[in-house]
Amino acid sequence: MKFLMLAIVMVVFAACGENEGNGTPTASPAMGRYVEVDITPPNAEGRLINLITQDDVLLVFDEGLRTRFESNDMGVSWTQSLGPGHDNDRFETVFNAGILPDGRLLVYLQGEGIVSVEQDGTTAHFPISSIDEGIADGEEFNVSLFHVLDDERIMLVYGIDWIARIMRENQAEEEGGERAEGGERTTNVRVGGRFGGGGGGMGLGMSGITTAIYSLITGQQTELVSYDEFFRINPMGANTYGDIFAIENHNLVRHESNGDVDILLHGTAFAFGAPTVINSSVQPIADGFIVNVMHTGLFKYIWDADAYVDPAQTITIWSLEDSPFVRAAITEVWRNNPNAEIIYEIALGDTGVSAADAVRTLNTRLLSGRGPDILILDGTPIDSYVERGMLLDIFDSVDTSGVYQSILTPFTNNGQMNVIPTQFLIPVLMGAQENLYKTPTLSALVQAVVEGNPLPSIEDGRMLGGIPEEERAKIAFNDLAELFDIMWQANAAAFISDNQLNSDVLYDFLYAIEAIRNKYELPQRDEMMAGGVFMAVSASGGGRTNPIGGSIMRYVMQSTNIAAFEASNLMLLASFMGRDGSEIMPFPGMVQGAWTPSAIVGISADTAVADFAIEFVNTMLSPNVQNINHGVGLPVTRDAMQWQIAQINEQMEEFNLSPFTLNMDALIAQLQTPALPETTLREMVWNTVERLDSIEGAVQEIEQNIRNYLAERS
Amino acid sequence: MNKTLGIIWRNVRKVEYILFLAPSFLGITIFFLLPFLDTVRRSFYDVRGVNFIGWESYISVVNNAAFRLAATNTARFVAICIPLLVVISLVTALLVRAIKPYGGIFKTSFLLPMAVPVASIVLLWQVVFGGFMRSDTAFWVLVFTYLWKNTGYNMILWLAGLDSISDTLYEAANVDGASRMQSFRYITLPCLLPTFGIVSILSLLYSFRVFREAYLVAGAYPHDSMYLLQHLFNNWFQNLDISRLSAAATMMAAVLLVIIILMRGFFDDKED
Repeated sequence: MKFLMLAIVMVVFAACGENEGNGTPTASPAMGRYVEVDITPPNAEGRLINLITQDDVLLVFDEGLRTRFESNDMGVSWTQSLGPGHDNDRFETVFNAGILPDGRLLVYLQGEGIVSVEQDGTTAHFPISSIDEGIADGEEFNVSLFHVLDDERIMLVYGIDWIARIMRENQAEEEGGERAEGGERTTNVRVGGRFGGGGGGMGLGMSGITTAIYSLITGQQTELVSYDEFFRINPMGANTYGDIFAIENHNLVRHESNGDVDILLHGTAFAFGAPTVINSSVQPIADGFIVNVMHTGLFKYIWDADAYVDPAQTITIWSLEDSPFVRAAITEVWRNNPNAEIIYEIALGDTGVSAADAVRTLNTRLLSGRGPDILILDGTPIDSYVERGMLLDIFDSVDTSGVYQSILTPFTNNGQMNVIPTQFLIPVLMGAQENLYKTPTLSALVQAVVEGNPLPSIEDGRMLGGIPEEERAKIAFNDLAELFDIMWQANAAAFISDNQLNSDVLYDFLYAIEAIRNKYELPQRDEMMAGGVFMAVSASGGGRTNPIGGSIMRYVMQSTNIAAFEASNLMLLASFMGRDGSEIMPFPGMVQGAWTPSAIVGISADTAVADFAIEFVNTMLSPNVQNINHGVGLPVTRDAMQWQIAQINEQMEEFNLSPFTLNMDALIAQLQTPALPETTLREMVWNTVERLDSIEGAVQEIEQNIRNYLAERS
Repeated sequence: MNKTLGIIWRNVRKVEYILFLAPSFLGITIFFLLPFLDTVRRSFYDVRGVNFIGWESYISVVNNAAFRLAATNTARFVAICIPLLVVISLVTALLVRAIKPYGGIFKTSFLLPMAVPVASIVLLWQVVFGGFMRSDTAFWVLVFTYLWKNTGYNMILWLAGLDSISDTLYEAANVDGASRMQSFRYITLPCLLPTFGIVSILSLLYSFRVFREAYLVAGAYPHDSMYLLQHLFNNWFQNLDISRLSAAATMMAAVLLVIIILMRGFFDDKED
């Protein structure tokens, strides 16, 4: 359990689909836009805190308030001096601060409440009635806004930080101390770390959000402000009108006190919109904004009337769902082309449309010649787009020299390539070698499950604490959907050949599902998730975390011998393979070497900016994008794979752990058959599996349902 | 002089007619005629409208098993539903008239299905008919849905037609000793012929709107018995099979046009 973090991870993936254009170059470039200027003070380290004094002096403190940076010209030049934390670690957990009219800082310290901080590090309790009362009751808080309105009033946004409280209590227990009660102060702890929310833990597990104005003199609340309860993720900034600014869903937004919310800057083109960023704070200034991008730097956004958008670098990217990987590529392309405009349309964002409707809308746009320039084709009928000539041949224009051959081969045909996966996943089994050897085929796996031990119920205390090896179940899943997902990815490619359904394969598939479902009495819906408990593992350097499936969770909790999942995150493999000498093998499906292409990209044949679109695809394959582990797919280039492994091993060494030795090249060499995202067929089979009574009946039903589906394609 | 004025006046009248017709003609041209012509054009080209492929799509459509099934089902549906709807709505209209003091209540209740949102109908249908949707009964569920939804509106059309028949005709027949059945046979039915024409053509067109309910209840690939042309069109569009979709749509439009022309001819003859 050393590497795990049990948490509710409130990660809101951006869903900022926009319909702003089609990428067709206009006659003249549009003038004026916000430009990003990196104003990070030199020598600043770690997490930064930025403030603006009443005299418009920009102050920045680096992590732990060790160093103070001061700028009288809003970040153009800096002077550096010792901060209040230069000789102590009292302020290690501080991630946000306010500044009083007399220049003292206001920060929140765990177990103490809000304190004022002098330049020399001297602190004094600063009474804020509600927070003091909460601390007296043993609560911890997370203050995401300290905004001094005038000499007498301060606006605070805060919530109860129950993660911090749990961590504090756990640490107290580990140290043999008593649980903190009645406001008794315990050691400061950092939430996060290697496998947690690396951004210092802010925003994780906040509840009871309060926005209120307090008297600076008495500490009493004078006014409760009724903003909506959306303030929970990031530190915020405010202006003199009481508008609150924050980065939400990768965009810079303004909340007005009347409840209106405006998106002021879309993040796709800016540093704060990068997918690796999980926390950013905003400070409005006279001519724009200052955004503190956690672990990245300090950026100023000002309107530049002379800046222009290059029509030849204006592209629209379309995908069904939001993808941190695509966002990483957008950030990289934009970094290399500051005058570009990149519009990222997410069809299933917050519009509530179905995938089928989204595809139909896309088709209409493509047919009218006003479609997006770049298509991320996951979840769409890819073959149709390719067969009908809707996508450019990118065989000669995209640099695929570093891409694994086994990934590339299924997508090239007689010197033609219309789409290319830029990420991929592998359905695998993980377990001790002796256990994996016993399950070389699907039927062997099913037999081992049926003959093996049952899975203890979720109420059984041993489920969380580990079960003796001989009593463990063979493999397990949280619910039917998880079992179906992995089985589908490993077998989908075998169902149809030459436009005919292979009923024998379907029968074996349903038999395996029924046997495993019955053995473990799998529920339709995940009971553990419904109970709000799941594990997350870190992915990128920015601290993004990804929840992991129930099969691997139960394996890690030592209640099963084998885990089945889709390998999409090297960090996850490295973290769990180190335990008990686990091995990995491809999931034994009915096709050889099944794998799942992901972030499959194609360029519209009607694009007017083909060169820039090709640059975008090349960027998706470039080291700066492939090297980042978002936890949603493996890199398709060998160099990036090796780079990520090297990074992991550096961390392993740092923590004195065994290196990650899995031979990914050998594993990838076994890949032969991509499971294309055929959503219609998948839905048909899943609908039958959900109410599976008799396998023969289900096969007949699917045969009947699929007849017209196949006939339409003939 | 008078002759010249007469010619001028007639020409002015012609211009007036044209001006009055122009807006609707323009609307039909922009929203129906031109898109339809584009559909016909697309049926002879590849998806991107670049390469001419001749009759290839038409041949492919005619040979396609899914098209044949969908066309058969659609024809079967139309052949069963339209006579049923015409008869049921006429009978309903006659009954509503027969119980005149309470007819208003029934009239309203028969119109209610038109006001019920599709989502509610679908939900209800899934609960009530869920078990039938994977068998041949699915087709009859669809027929029932069509009748349930459209009887009320057609009944109103019939009632309007019945109201337009002069009472003096019935009174004269009564004086001549005609029975009620004879009155119905020799006065009501002939006088309802124009209404019959309108009801039949509208019923035909409504029959293509039942797809919405069918799709929402059973999805893109329902049971074979209720797999209609619109399912096929919808799925071909989803897969960007635009050439075949255009060819099939053109063929369907041609068949519909022929049917409507024949029906118009039949009713015009009868009216004369």
